Amino acid sequence: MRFAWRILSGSLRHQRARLSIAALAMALGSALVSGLLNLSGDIGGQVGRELRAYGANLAIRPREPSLRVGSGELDFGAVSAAATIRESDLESVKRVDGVVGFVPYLYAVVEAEGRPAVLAGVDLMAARALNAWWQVEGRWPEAEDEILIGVRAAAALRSGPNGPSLEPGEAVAVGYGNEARRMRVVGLLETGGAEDDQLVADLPTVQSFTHQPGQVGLVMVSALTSDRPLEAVARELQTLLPDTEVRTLAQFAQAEATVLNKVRLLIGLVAALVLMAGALTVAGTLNTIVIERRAEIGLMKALGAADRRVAGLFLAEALSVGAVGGMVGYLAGLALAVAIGQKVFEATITPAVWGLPGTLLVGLAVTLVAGLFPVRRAMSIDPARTLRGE
Amino acid sequence: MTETIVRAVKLSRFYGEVRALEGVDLEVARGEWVSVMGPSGSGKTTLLNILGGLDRPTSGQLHVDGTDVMALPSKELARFRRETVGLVFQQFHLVPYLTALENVMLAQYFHSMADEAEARAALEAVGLGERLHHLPAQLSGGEQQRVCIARALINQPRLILADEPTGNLDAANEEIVLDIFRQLHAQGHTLVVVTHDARVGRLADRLITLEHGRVVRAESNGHDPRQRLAVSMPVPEPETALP
Repeated sequence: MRFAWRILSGSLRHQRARLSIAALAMALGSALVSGLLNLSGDIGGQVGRELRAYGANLAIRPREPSLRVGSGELDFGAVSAAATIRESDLESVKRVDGVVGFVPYLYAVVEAEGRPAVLAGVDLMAARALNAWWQVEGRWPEAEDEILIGVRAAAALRSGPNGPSLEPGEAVAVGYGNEARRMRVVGLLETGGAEDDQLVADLPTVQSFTHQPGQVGLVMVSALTSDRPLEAVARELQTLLPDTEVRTLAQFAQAEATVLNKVRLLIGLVAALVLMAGALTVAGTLNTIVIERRAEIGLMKALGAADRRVAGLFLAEALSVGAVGGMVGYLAGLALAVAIGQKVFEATITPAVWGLPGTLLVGLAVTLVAGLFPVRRAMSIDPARTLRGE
Repeated sequence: MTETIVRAVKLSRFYGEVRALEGVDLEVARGEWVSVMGPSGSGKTTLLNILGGLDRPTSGQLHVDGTDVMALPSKELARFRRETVGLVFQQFHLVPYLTALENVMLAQYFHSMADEAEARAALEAVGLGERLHHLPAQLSGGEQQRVCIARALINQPRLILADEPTGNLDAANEEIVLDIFRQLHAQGHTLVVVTHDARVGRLADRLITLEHGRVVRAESNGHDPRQRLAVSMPVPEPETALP
């Protein structure tokens, strides 16, 4: 065994330039595998959180709805003006595993400038955090009588579809029951959703205006689906809030799962392709080595070396390439994962426990397979012919 | 009565239309030195390769040290090569990244297990005690050939086969190598040496000349190996003799 090591180390030293290139090719593939392994634990969460920018995937509403809310594809079902959820009950929602955040809404049908309109009270801070795509022209409300107006509502309230829109700085007369207030529009809101047709105020404003302090009519919840199924989060929420109805927005959940899987598939495919290129490089290099060293292989066979000994020497060389490439690739992949974590997801990636063994195993397996063809070629060398120099 | 170690009957080797060897009969006695001469392409190396188990004849019979070589499957043929024959090449065929010592140990490694002390003694016996850790590129042609000889002898083969062993050497190194061959012969080793050199041919007990794959002449050089050994030194067992 010790002598086998002397042969192997001598041979590796002798061909270090050529083998280094093969090891480098393997390192590239292994780096992707290492990156994938180190990221895959976190990437689900990372992509999940990224996708959260596209909105909630769960809705909580009171049991007896009486008003439909939503528009287009975002049909949230119906909520009741009378039946509401206590805001204080929502404290427990934050503690549910997988929940990243939620936005409580309270809707009221009001008269704005003499026309019926929906006034939505929204926890604006939560909405800004979770609904990153909400665009406000002007500024967000700060005082109690300040509101945002949806882009379509702004046009409708002033002068119909073609007239000049209501603009930030103008006031709107809003009536609810016997109450009337003048509210100042501070920003135009564009969400691409139902809010574009609504007046949007901070939640406490609407609660006090409609005499429903501490009440909300709808809660939109964002939950990560990478660690547990959305349905499990929904069931837990339902248990916590028995007087409500918790629904998944299946569309979102499905899209999210699809995107996540596609991201994984993409990284996996790229890793597989690069590994395949690495394997071809290793196979090519070993093949060249076998051709160049056929006299040496012929000699070994002439000296009576058993085929498995010759094969063992060449496979050991291939595995050395895999081990070195895998090791270098592991470190490079880890650095890649950390860089991606910081730049793309703004998160710190911790090395996965199985990152090193996994990368090495893949590297060794690939080089072993890549080495089989050249080794077969080595085995078939005819000693008499090669020693004659043919 | 001398014991026959090689018995070849009607050996033929054809490569397609080319008849490299045709109907060669050959017997070699244990302890005998046989030289094989002939022009290029006469089948000398083909004959040597077949005797060494590196190639198989197209037809004929071959027994070496009691083994029916033609009947051996390839795995057993490899065992035959490592246990029965020692090969000396014109081109030396040393592994370039192994030292002189390691090149000799390589043959031990394939045979059973590497034994550094034994390999060192073998190199010392051919006068290379000071060059053990040199790579082939750091050795002269003569030194490389002596490493090759030490390697051929390290597993105590029954039959030493040499293909143009002095073909790549200058006169001084040729003399050193031939002297080793003389010693081996004197110690009772069996040698079959392919050569172009008439002087090398004359050193043998018997000279066989091939032409177009056939034996055209077989002549004795007049010295009976047994007799010579009897006058020169006690007959040692090849296994215990220094190379």
